Amino acid sequence: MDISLPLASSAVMPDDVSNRDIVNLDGQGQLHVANRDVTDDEMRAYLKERFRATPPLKIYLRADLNTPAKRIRQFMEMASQAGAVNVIFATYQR
Amino acid sequence: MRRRRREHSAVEMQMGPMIDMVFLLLVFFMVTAKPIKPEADVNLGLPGMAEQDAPVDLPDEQRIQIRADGTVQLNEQTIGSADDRDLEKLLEGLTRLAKSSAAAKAELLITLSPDDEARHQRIVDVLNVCAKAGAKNVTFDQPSTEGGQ
Repeated sequence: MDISLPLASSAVMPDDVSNRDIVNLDGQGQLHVANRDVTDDEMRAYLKERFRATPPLKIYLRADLNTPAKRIRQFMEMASQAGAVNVIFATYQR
Repeated sequence: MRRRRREHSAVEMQMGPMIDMVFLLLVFFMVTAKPIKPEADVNLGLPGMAEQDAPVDLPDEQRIQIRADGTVQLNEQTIGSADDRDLEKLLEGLTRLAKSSAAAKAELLITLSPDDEARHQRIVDVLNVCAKAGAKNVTFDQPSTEGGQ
């Protein structure tokens, strides 16, 4: 998945990367899971199922640096409704 | 006897071209290989639900708005222009607010309110400043409902 991650000086290298679900969000706002395009409804169902089946789960959002904020917030709302308490933004260290 | 010696010398190994080839391959792989850039985490809490019976300490809430052009406002005051990557004034403002919240024994809560068209990189720039200022509670306001995919 060709996504240009944002740069962050406050980013930290994770000690533990287990139990993470990776979601990609491209610059046009399209969601992808495992290289497959997914609609918002499919993502809601997917997250709900994942949180039911394998808690505690961490959501790792690989959003492009040009992704509109609206899509980030909509994704966060989906994650929150599915039971997530936080979302990890993927970045490169600056 | 002479014949045997000639045959023996004909199967000698040519090391020169082999070393040339090995170096050529080495240079090729060094030039074409992409360095692996490690990814790092920026952790963000999502708004949760508090139990109704539990006493709630009201946090000291500050609001940061991110305009579509990248301009940043702190409580309606423009504090960072679109090309200001480090947002020094925002850092000063948040550090001051963090100190006053600590003095009042209140928890500093920062709510990000980005414009729908603001870029993700700009949100991360603001999160960097929040982290530098020591703000631990950062969240987003409610998204607009229409326009999902």
